[in-house]
Amino acid sequence: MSRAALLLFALVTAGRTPEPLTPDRAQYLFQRSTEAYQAKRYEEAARDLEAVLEGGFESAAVHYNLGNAWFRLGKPGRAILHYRRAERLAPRDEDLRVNLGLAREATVDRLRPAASPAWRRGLFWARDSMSREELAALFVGAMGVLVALLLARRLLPSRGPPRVAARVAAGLTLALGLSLGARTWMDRPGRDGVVVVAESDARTGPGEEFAVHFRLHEGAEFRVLERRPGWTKIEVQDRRGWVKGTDVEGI
Amino acid sequence: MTGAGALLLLTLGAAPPEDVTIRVTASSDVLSRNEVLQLGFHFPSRPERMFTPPVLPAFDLVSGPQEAVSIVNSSASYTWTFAYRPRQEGDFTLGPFELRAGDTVYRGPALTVRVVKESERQRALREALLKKVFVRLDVSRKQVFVGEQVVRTISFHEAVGLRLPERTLVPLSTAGFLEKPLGRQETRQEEIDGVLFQVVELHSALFPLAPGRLTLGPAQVDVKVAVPGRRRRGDRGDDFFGSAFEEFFGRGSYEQVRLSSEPVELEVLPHPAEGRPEGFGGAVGDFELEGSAKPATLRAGDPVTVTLKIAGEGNVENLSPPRFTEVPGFKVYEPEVQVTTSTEGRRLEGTVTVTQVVVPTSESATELPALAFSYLDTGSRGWRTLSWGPTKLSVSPPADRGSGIVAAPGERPAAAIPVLERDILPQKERAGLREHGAAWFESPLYLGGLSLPWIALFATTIWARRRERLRGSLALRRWKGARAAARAGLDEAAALERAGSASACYGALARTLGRFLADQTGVPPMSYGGAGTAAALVERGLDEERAQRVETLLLDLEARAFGGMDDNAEARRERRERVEALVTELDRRFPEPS
Repeated sequence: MSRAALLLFALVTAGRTPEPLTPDRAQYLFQRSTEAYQAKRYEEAARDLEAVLEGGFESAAVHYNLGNAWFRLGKPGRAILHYRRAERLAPRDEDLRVNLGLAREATVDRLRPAASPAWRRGLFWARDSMSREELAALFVGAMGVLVALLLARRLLPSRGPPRVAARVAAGLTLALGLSLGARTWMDRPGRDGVVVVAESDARTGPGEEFAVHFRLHEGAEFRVLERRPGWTKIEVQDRRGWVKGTDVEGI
Repeated sequence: MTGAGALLLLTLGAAPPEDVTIRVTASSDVLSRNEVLQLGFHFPSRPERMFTPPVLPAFDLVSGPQEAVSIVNSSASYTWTFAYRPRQEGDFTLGPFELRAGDTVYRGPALTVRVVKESERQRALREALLKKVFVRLDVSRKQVFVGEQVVRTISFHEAVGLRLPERTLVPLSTAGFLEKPLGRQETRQEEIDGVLFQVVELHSALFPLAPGRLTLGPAQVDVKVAVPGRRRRGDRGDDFFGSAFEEFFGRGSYEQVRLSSEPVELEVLPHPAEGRPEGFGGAVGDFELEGSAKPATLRAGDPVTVTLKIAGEGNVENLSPPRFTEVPGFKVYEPEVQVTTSTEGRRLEGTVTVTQVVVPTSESATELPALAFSYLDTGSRGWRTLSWGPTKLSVSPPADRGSGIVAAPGERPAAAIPVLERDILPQKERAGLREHGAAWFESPLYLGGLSLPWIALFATTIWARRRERLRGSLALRRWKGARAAARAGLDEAAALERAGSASACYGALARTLGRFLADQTGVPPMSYGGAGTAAALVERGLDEERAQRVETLLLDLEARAFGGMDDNAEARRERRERVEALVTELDRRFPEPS
């Protein structure tokens, strides 16, 4: 069994009762992981970063660095898993985009998510280019401006701001609110998944007795349709099948 | 007039024709010997004269005609019905019919009717029904290459008028294929052997994944049909309008029947080894390639956007489009790939657009090499390679040689920097940690706080509206301020009382009360006083007892004010308190002015 596999086993089986971390300890583990990574001790780096996550802390940088560590350990599936998680928190990070692309190229299936049409990307620009936190802050700001404008118009009917300003603010608030809702829907845990083992058979039903419909390899990304004990129903490129729950991780 | 026009005119009966084509219907395709066959003749206009009922072999005329009129889309049709009873079992062809009514000849097509024993009636009815509903499975091609598009069509035929209560397509296994549905189901009508069918078609594009012989189907559809019940004694099936289907379905319990098509065998061929292009990435179909590089004239260090479009028929979602990886003299960026698909025309078609940015690092980088795309052409059944380029660029030296990647000041232009290896970008140094869990904007406090500005806006709106209303209505302002104004008047009266000026005190009390009443009822300030006050107040809704008390007090106050009565301080205080009590009692007792 390779070192990476041993580490994976240790990480998956350990940490069932994670110790709560203090913020200082989490920061220390993060710094230590960076040093370990620079010293090419990728297993240690991954272990420290997993400990940070298990301890109840996270950030785009933690997931990104963990993705890098898994990539160096030759586990593109786990690398993609953490890059995708980082992407939710920092959707405009260029480094992240590059590394995610390289990790996808390192997979066997080399599946790429279907690109949205240009009109949809234009319409949902805010949703696709901002994190939920950013959208929520902008939404609150826009709503505050809207309420202030409405109050000013109400209190100073003759000298208040023009109606068009309130309309623009209302439109912006609505767009940001819808984008926030859509982003929340898209980012819900477990909506997408990734294969984290070398090979995973997708069967026609949730059990070993069902026929193998198609086969995915490590790093293949998919949409999760349903979960049952031990099995997950997935969809990839219009194909549907059931894979073992232990073969995949929800993003 | 053309022949078709004449025929149309004759058929519609616009002018009395010599020959008229009519429709003929039978109440059932299958009947037993003790049932009655209702034969209906449908005329576009009412026959002016009676005709002789047709004589049918092995059938006896029982009754008729029964006449019925039906109006569809403002157009009437007339049906004359005759009842016949079969004399023997067998298959009978009735007609073609030729009915003469005066100078007009009505011609109708032949019908086939089966007369069976009562014990065979159920089975025969079922057989007759299942000829009217069936499913077919077809493919666009039976010998295909791996990855070639095969259009599979499942068509469900149902005779018009059957109106099956339920039809469910059984999912068809596509093991060994990649399947892409082609749009929604299509509905059309088709006539087969003189029977009009409603046909529902489902199309899918299938892409075989491996060579070999593959079997598709059979396509299966579950339909719900009724199991015919045994006829009761005396029930002779005389209901003419019950068709075979209605008869079949109307008298028993329902049963699910699975209709199956014939399976289809496909031979999937491997990709031909001979002439297989080196860069073949698995594309099979019919494609076109076009590309562009813009701008073609630029300075070193400026980006060139290369756009490559592969459009055509086939599984475009799984194409491996060509792209630049390393180009000497250029910095090459990762391409963006967009795929759009269309299922119009019952084929999977689409376009793969590759957009890639390359940057010439010096003015010597003037040519982008050609890009080639190879595929197995389904039209010619052979290999085909499309290419774009090479593309010439006009690259001038950079505007500022002191900056950018091209050259340092005073140096010769840098040679092209080849990309040697690609690797992931380094670790992040800043942790930016935060506690995992519900985000701040998901906390109940935040969600509750979101409502506060709107509550404030709502309250302000109500307050502003109230203020505007007060501003716009003097009567309302007086009505609302009546008590405060009365309070000021009472204070004035109290001061006068203390000063010992009895007449002035009573005068102030009378004015205060009168003005209070005027403010409350929305009349001019001096409207109340003396006799008639009670009547005026009753008119405005006050009860008589209170109105009388008010009038009595006002008269008393006016009499003392103008009569110069100089009574004691106790009396003045007692009247001031009565005015005060009345003001409290009557405040807002009158309706608020609108």
